[in-house]
Amino acid sequence: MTLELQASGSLQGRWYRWGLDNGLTLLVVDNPAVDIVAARLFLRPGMLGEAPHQWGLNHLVAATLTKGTHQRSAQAIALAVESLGASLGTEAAPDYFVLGLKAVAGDFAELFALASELWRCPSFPAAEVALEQQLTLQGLRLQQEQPFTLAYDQLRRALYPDHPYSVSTLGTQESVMSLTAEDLQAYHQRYFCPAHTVVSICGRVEPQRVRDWVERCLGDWQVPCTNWKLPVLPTPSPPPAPLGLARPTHQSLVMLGYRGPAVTSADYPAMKLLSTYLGNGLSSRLFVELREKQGLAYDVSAFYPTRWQSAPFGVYLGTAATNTRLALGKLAAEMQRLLAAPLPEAELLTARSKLLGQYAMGKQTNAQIAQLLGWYEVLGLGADYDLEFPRLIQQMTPEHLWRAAQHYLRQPWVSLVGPEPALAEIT
Amino acid sequence: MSQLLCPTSPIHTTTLSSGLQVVYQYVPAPVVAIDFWVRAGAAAEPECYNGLAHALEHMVFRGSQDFPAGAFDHLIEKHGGMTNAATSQDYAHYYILTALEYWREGLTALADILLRPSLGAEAWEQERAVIAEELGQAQDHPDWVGQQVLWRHCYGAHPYGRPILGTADSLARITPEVLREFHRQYYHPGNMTVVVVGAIPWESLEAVLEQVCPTVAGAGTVPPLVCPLPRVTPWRSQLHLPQAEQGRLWWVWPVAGVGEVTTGWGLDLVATLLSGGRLARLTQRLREELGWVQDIDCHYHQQVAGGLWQITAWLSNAEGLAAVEAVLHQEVTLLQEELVPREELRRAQRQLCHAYTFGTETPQQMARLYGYYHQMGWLEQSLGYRERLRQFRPEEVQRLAQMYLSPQQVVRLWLTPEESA
Repeated sequence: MTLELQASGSLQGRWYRWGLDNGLTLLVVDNPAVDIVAARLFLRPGMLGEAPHQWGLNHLVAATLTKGTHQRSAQAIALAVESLGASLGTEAAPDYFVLGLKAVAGDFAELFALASELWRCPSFPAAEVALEQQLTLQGLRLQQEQPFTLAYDQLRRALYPDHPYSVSTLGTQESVMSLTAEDLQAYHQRYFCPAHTVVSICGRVEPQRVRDWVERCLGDWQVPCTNWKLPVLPTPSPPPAPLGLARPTHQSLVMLGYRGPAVTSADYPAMKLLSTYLGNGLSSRLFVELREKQGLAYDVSAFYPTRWQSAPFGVYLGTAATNTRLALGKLAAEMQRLLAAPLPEAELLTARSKLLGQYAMGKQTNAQIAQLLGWYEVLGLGADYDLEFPRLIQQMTPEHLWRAAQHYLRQPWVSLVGPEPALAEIT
Repeated sequence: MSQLLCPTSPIHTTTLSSGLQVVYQYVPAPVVAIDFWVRAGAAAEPECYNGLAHALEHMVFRGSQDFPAGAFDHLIEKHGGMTNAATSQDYAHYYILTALEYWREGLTALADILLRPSLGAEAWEQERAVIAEELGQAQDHPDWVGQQVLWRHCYGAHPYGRPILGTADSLARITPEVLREFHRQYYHPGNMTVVVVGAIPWESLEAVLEQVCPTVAGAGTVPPLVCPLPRVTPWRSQLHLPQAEQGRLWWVWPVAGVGEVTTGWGLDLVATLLSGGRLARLTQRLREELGWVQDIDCHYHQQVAGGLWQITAWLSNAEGLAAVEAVLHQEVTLLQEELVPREELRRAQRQLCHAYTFGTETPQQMARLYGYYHQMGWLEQSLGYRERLRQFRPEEVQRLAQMYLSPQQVVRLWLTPEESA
């Protein structure tokens, strides 16, 4: 085992990074402020490893990973977690799979040993898989109640045809129905291996001791790694007419979407700044222009998630059905404005300090810190990216943002959800 | 200044000469949380101006003379800080989270827009449109719609029965003068508490507070509103909502006259026994064993005049409804008839104690908790939460279930997407 590096006073404690002999990566942050330890076990590549007929596989693995191992039943696992008053949960994300846990410091070792057992040898009992499959199908229906989700679904299907980014992590009705317990076992055998695993721990711990414990729980885990390839990104063009979905709602959801760059792109920091500028907080451009000055919306915002491959960039608002056309025009005009000329320097400065300030505030809890560092590591950026990101943001000029806007934000995909008459007026 | 002992650092409470109450805790964190609580929730508003308390909360963010429209938001957010507010039936609270070095300017600005908002006519016209959108968005949410129906039934003519957001009609009646009058009555230091958690020395904090929250001449405390809660009769009702994709079943019990905070904690414990985790009784049976519900949640909502204890179940098929209700009936009855095994109770106690630890990790979480308990008058007791929670015995839990959760008294609502379910 080698200690690769020890760096950084930027996080509340210092963080340590070790590579275990079996290829597993371990990050540890000693933060003694509270009597809590949070850990995250990450696995790459999440949904990016799913074929279209298996979309939702990671989610179903997440839902059933805690439902049995070769040594314990679902009941026994729940009893172990709940008796400690701890939390343990799993989640499928577009670019990774994660198991998160949180305990008071004294219970951490016991809980982590349990998590390691789940990670290494889940049994995916057929009855539990069938149950969670049914509940996932209901979950998919429940998602359809949210106008935002409907508009976002419609948008990503158009932005990423046949690519995993085109669907919710839950999958689709068709793909989820076709999954079986055998698919889950095969997926676990193929992807769960030390070389694809990153363990990130933050809290009141002694780094050397916690490393020894992780070594004891996961150090003898020897599973060969299968290689995988990133899925091919399609290159669709925006359709001439808006995408519309009629629903009997009070409001219309108006969304403009674009194909933005991946986290590894040189344009990533510029696009993060543009997204912050447009939609982050009460002082953001869209909030001030469309909500405060025009009263067109209560909820108006922007999104640009951090992604391994090309990420969706979007702006949206919810507005009274009768305002649909007006709101669409105003939203499009705001996006046009970004193409017309570089932002004034002062506006960039505000967006920059807002983004950096919020970035720092996003590292308040042990769980947040463990999540962020592990995520960077699993994306292949390395936990060092926590220092790199603010530097990159600092370097951006109005010209950088302008060029990025010119490149990525020329032609929007328009996605609308709302009452039939409001949509008919536009489509 | 009195000092409350807390396992970490002491919590200080004091009242300044202006009448402003202060709850303060020194925590060595890089961020500071400041949270103003105003005893002016929706329950304080006159019926014809339903939605007024929430409207004023929106209008405060429209700024003051010194911090005109947008200036406050910009000031807080330009350094990565965060600000927001919320209005409930009992209170409105306004909070900022800011890096340590900017706490002075943040506090000064927040106090100014709170105490001296402009409340101009043009801004109100714009903000009324925003609130109309907020209302439209809420109406598209099945959970919100169902909750409003339940509150209306459980509280009747009591102010709690009205929607916090107001209605299109009541919002149309609100004018800048109405906003100003409500502000004059309630938004003065004597009717407020500020909670500050962060690495600020008390002397500096006190000096700034004395300066930015001066005494307001002629302002007295507002007598609390006395309005009797209605006698709620058992009720069964059904609501058809075309935009819903899934059904919801609510079982609700009004909980009147909880004079002691420990009763509320006991009711939380009952909720945890039924739905806190996979082994909890209702979750285990209805979700894990039978697969009849997509999710189930039990929850006690405490309010000054009277709370609600409720079960919400999300289930897709209407045919299974009767069977689900039969299980609810059995499990609630069982709690009344048989003592909870000690081991099961200990598990629920440990879960809640740790949830408290996990829920007080950041200054913002702490400020919110202290503020909530302070306005309920239970701050001191709340510091003994974990200790008291561990003392609950099976007999107490049984007595609470018998007293408050009688299946014969339940208020029941079934919300369904289907026309003729």
